[in-house]
Amino acid sequence: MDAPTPRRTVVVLLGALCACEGFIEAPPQPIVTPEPWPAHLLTADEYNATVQDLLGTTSRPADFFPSVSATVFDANVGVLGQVSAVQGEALLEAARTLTDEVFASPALRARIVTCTPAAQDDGCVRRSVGAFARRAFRRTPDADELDALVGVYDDARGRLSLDHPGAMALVTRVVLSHPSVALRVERLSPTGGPEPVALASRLSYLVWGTAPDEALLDAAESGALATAEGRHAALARLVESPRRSRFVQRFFGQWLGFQRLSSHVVDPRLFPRWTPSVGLATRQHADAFLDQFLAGERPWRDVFRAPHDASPALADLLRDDPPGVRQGLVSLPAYLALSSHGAQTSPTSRAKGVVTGLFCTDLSPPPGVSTEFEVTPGAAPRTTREKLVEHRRNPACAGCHAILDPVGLSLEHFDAIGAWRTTEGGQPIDASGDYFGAPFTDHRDLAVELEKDARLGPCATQKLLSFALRRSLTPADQALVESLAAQWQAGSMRTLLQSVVDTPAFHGTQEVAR
Amino acid sequence: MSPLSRRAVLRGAGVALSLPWLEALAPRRAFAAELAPRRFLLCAFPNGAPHDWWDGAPAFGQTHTGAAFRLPSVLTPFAPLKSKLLMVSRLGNYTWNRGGARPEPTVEPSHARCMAAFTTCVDTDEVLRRANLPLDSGVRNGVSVDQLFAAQWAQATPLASLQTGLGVKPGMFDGRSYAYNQVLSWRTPTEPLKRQVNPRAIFDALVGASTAGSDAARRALAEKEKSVLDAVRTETLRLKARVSRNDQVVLEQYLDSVRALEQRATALSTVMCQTPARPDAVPEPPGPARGLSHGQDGYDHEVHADVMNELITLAFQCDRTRVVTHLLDDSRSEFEYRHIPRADRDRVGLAYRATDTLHFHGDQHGSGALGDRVVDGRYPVLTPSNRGYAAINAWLCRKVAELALRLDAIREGDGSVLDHTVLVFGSEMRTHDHDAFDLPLLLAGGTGLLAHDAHRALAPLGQDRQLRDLWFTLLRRWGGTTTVSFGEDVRGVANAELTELLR
Repeated sequence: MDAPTPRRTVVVLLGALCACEGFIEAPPQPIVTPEPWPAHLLTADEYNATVQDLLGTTSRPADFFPSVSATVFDANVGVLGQVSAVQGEALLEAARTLTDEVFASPALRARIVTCTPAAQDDGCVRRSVGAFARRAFRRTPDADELDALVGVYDDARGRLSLDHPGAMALVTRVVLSHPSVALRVERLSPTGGPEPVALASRLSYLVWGTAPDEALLDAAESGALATAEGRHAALARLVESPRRSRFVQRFFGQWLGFQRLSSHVVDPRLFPRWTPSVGLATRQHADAFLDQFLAGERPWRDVFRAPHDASPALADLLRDDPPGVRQGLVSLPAYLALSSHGAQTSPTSRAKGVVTGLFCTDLSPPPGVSTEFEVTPGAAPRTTREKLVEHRRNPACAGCHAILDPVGLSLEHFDAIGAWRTTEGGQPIDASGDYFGAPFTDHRDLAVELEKDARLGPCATQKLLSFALRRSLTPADQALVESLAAQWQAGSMRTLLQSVVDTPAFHGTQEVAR
Repeated sequence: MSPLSRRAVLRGAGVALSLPWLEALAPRRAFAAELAPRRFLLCAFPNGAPHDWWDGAPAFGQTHTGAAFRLPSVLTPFAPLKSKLLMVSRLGNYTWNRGGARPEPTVEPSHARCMAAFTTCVDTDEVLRRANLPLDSGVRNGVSVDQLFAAQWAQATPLASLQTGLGVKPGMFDGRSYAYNQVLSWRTPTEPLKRQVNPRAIFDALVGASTAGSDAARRALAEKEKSVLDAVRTETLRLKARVSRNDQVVLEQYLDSVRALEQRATALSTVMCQTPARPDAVPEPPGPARGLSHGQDGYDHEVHADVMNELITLAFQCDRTRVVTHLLDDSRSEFEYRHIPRADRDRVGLAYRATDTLHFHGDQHGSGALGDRVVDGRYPVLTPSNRGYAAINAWLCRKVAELALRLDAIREGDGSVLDHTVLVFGSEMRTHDHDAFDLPLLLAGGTGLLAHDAHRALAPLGQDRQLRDLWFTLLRRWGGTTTVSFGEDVRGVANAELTELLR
């Protein structure tokens, strides 16, 4: 690795004062063992999407599941790797209610009951159950599995005296209760790795947040995904589908926090322009902004300067904007509102979105240090900037705030809902500052400095790898993150996705690491 | 596609579940005095209590009984039950804490770790470190006190235990899994039993499929049920033979659920309770990002709390379970208690203003400070608690008092259901300061075991007793277990019964 530049050194030193957690020790070489991923539950969102796509139902059974969630990404084997008693029973109950929902609707029922048996052995039952089980299990059922399901049907027709739809309903409930539906469980292939079909689910849950379609299952089971070309073609199809919006919502939404917008509280007396529909529009606006890094060729290094889409729903919110003030992630109304308190801006929180969110540098306050503004007697500070200057006099706070304050204060022209303002408390806004020796007048100049930051690419790589592998990263992953980031150079997200999918850790077949 | 519009919400459930069904339900099962069941009910509220809780508290080491024991304003809804109450002060829960060189009463990050330790008295951070798991996503704790009661009494009832609650807006992260913020019951160190906030799901668990009409219809239903569960068991075992050893453990957990349903299907064939109307659902928040506010989509927090109280009452009255944990909100709650009626606010001197948000965690951090140094046998109030924080507590206290009153109104053997229940009502932290000593605790019921009509203040910090000793005492004396140790104490202090609290 090159010797750090002087600026980099400053960052690292200040970072250390702020309890920086990074990869510090020498990188161990990654050991690539293509084992099956640990069995784990779908997340609530994934379960809902999976059964809706499978059955055509509209209910959301997982909204009623017990949920335990990891920080950052909910799809994490660390928290999904156990089936509690409550969870297991909720899954079995969901299979029952979903079956009821399907068989109460002739249209939905017809998707599963695809034929009526004319004779005992005309293959109708086996055909329709087999097709349904394949989509539900996300792999072709073995012959003995299919035999057993047909046996359940025959028993229901005979001993339980059910009619054809009644017996099909019973089989449907058995299929939906199968652990392969609610769990991501990868069977062992004879060679010890995961079966090739596992890659279909790995890809579809990564990009679509739902089960693979038949084409993807076909590709995986035919061995087409064993080659890089095959994987790239499959990935391209997934990314070009409108379902990639689930990737934007889940990956960016959880990483950058936009998923919290729906519960963000704004003081309605101070900000009557912020209504639930405006809140929703800011989320859609942010998703559209982020989609350009996935759908198009926009490189991630443009994140501080990329253009915003026009949004008629936000016209009123943006009505006071001078020309050209909106560019990049940090001037999205969604970002600005979410990083504010309900009644006022929080420059610290806005800066943390950059430093901890986009640069992956932890800035936890040292133990025992309060991060609240202290009320000191005497003349009260009037603007947020004055309060922060006061805050920074505390040496325990200065380490982090020296980094954070200039970044956050560069956005002070935007109020707590992201609307443009020129004064605060009767005082003119001053958004200027100095970022490691480079003076700036507002966030637009600062963007030039921020986009040079060497942490931008590795941070996004680290987040995407963790999201794709559905686990927290460990120091053993550091070398992989660094090599992916070096190759990527903060290019388009689509390129990064392709590189991640090409790692043996993701595709699960034995390959010599680069 | 708004997540809100998809939700079924509690609408008019209070009407659907009004009184008649409770009367219709009464099992009329007379327990002889010596056979009366013993039960354990933990009602926990997060974020500590306002200083009002300790108004009129005895000095350290002292006890107020009878007329000298006066309920503080927040607890006055319990007044009709005063002769069955025991307030306990100066009980700590921090000696499991390995955050520093020695256990400190200030635990950081406090919300998640204190809530996790409330029922287990172990340090989840330390458990994760020992298991070499990341702090941000790992889920490990000890076995919780209620689950030890449940294991002891499991054979007596169809459900070993029930986890209920009111949280519909997820609390903020403390950089730890939500399991710690939202769970009181830990069946095993890796199995948090999250509370169910959806009344309909609780109703189904309590009443089950026993609603079918004729015997023949019920038998046919049971046959179908058996057919499904048999097939699911067979197919899960078939899959289990094809996966890694670790994954076999996960599938075995799934099989446990299948077996539990099989047992329940059998147990339900003897119908004990008549069936009340099925309540509407309150959604479980689907993830960390979303939640439900009072008034949103017709959601009514007061009605939700009432329905939960009725369901807990049903569970005990019909002897469906003997162990319930009821978590009134997430730790570090973000819920806004705008719905609190004037009467509760009046009780603590908060003028009614419709615009007050009554944001729980926000108000916890509003004004209020309690000293840590002893003055005249107490911790002095340096700054009174803000009234919003007090009003939230007053409301939470009233809802639990209403539950206790319900339980006390049901005759059973020589007393009431409450007499045969140890109800523990308390919080995982003290007050504004997040400290884990001097927990607000109120015990009710447990007649025959606990001292009553009393407020006992134990010794101050440094010589204070620990919550783990309360759980230890109750497990042995009320549960009849042979527990030799509960929770951890990094000082190496062994458990000792809290005989001061016994009759």
